Amino acid sequence: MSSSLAGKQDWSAFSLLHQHRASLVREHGPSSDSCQITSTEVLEAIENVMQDIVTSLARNEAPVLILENRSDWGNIQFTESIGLQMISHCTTRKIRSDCPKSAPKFALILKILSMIYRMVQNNTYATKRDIYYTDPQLFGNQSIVDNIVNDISCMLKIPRRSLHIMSTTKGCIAGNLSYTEEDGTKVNCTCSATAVSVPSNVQGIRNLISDAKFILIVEKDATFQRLLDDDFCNKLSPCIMITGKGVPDLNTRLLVRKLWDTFQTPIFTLMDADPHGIEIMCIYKYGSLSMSFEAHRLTIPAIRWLGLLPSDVERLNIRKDALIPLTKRDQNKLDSMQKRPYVACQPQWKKEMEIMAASKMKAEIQALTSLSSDYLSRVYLPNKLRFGGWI
Amino acid sequence: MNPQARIGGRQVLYRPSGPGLGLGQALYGPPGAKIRGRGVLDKPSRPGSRQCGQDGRYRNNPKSLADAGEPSAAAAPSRSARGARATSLEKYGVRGQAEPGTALGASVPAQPPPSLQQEAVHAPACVHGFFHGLSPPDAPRPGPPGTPVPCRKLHPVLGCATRLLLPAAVAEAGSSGELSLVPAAALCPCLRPLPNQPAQLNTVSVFCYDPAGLPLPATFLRDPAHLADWERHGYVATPDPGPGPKEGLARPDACYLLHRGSGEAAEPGAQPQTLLLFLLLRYADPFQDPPVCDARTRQVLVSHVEQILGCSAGAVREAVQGVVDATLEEDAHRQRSQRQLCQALPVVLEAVSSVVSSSTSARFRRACLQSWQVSDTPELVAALSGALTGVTRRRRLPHSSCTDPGPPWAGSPPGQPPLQEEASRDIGTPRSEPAGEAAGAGPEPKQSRRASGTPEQGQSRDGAGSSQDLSQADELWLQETRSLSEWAS
Repeated sequence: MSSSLAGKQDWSAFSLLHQHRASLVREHGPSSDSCQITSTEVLEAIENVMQDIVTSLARNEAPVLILENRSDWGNIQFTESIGLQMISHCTTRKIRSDCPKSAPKFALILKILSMIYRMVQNNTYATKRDIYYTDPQLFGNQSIVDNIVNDISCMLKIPRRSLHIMSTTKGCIAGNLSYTEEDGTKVNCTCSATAVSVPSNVQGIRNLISDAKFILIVEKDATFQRLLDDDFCNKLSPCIMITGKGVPDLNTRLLVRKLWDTFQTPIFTLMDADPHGIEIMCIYKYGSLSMSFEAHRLTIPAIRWLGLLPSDVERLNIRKDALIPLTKRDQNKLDSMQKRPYVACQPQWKKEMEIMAASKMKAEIQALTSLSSDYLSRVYLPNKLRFGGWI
Repeated sequence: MNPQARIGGRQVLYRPSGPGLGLGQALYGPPGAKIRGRGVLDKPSRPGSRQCGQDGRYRNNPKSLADAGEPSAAAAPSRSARGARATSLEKYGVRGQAEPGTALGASVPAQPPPSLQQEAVHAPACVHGFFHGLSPPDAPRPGPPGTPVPCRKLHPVLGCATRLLLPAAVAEAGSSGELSLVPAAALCPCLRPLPNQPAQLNTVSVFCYDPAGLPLPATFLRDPAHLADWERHGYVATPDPGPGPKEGLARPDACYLLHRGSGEAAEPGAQPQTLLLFLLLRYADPFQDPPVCDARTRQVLVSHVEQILGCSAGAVREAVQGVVDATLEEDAHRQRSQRQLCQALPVVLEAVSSVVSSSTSARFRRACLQSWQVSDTPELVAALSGALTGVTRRRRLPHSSCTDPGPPWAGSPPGQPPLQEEASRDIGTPRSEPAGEAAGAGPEPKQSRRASGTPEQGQSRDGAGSSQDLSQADELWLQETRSLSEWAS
């Protein structure tokens, strides 16, 4: 890995960060996505589905499709090394072709399977939006297509990328990173003025080069842009900053996972001190319910929570008027988060949630501007990284 | 002392039945107990003979109960058998509970309009009893193996009891009682067990009965507009000039032909259906307990029926419209579901054929072609098309409320519809999934749990499938049903 992108920051004072990185490498080690699924395997999987339908009709039986229940916590198991993963023998549901209620979904699943089959044969790609717009009247709305695509990926046990269905990317990245896209385009994220969109085909990028000491995942685009404006990437160079602009899309999660698999760089999250921010962080770290069947390719348990911690809000004596009372919805989400399987193995996170629940207040990252306008990039983040303020 | 009993989980006060056993008089009857009032035959006498009831009145005895048990092609009990059926059913203490309008699929509201729902429960038990056990006569005889057979029973929707105005002439004739009309409607044959079988509603048969349970013909009924607004459901109703029902079947008091207002043609292979409308007159006289609709009162009704119905034309139409709407809404929902299905099947076929035709895998193509013994993809697609349509049409619901009614009060209490059709009914697990996902598809855990409350074991529910938790009244009811069917056969 070449080091052509030297930075100005004196990193000798960040001993805790180096120790953290060494422990991560020892603890997690490289976990690359070794098993690549070939196009032939994808075509064969689809052919098997079609053949089952043909033989069912030959036996004078109404064809059915069996789908795993992706939105059932009963089908999820939690392991610290992977996160929220679908269990092997989970409850399923039968989609009948002869029932008026499920026949439309049965038909749409086969329709999308035939479209995937053609794309894989012709080595072309499409986003879920592209698929929807081939026949909006037939599909009804975008969420139906999104749902069916995830059901197909879960049913065939094939990642969406191997089905040649791309995600619509909304994430951005900036900092000490360069790579080459599948079509040969060279991308350099070092120009600090603007950020680079996360590539839509993360699986296809190669020649990744970075000297980053850490990777900062920022919850909101506003905070990301603010840090860009404060020239944070140069002040604490070499580092990488990435945002999924709220709940991350698949490509943003894949890119963060690829950076981790490639460089084992410490990854920290900068979220609002509210239940929604905590949930977004948990998606990066442990995965989500609906994508649990792909958890082993997406989650990064090595992620640490850097800020904004509820305990920081108390410690920094942020003014009460800069804080926001928890809404009923916030409290419900906080209660449900505290019962999630992964909180049990994070005592420090549990403590932070209890502080938030007790104070009944939440704080955005922008609350730090009540201390000074550039407090976040000049004081807060450098000190947190220097003194190991992550949990 | 007014004995109490439960109809479908609802406490109902019963008055012991009076001496006479006319349909209109025996308003109530204790559940399950044998009504040994007069006019009850201990054993079947010679069919066709006149039977003197203990109340001194003569009644036609049915040619045979089987006849009574098999209503006419126009789907109603033969005229002479009508009164007899009511009597024969009465003697077995048969009463039941007509099922409220039931949604076939998820999108029709599970509860018919509340007013219909409550009224249906409070209609006198005898009216329920009238329908219990009737089975459509012209339900097609079982064809070759695999031919789906519709349900062998009627599932009437009972309407509100509507008070009729008595013209001055009737009052002057000395009739001091109150007359009310209870409408009921049923589709015949019932196709609920076959949700995907196309149906074609083409006739309406109207039967009017006086309080004594005897036919009450009236020219008022010949005009379809007097009973309902048929355009509301896309139909044009015209009086049926035809010769009338087939030999051996009861002649309705009025018959209409229904045509689609839009002129759309019937689907090939569609099952013809008839809408049966029953108008049951009920007589109540505060000065008689129990009120007796004797011959004189009946004569007054027969001679003034046109005035009576004419005076209350609005009320009659409103009452009948309610049951027609409930029945035809169920039919409309069924057609909407079938249209949804018909839109999905071509998409399935096109997806399968596009993969088979564009596949480069010899193994896959050979397996598909061999499973149908065809030589190329066009032949395979033609075979798949026919098979997909056929297997979809022949779908039979495993646990429809038709095939396994069970004792009437053992079914779902009034106000709660029978179990809805679900995408994966045979999984039989409680629904845990939000409707948004594959609507109607319940989860299937490793060991599929039987749906609670569904009388699963009652496959051969001919009264033999008694189980411990059935109450004593249920046991009696099952025994009665068994003896009724034995006597009938």
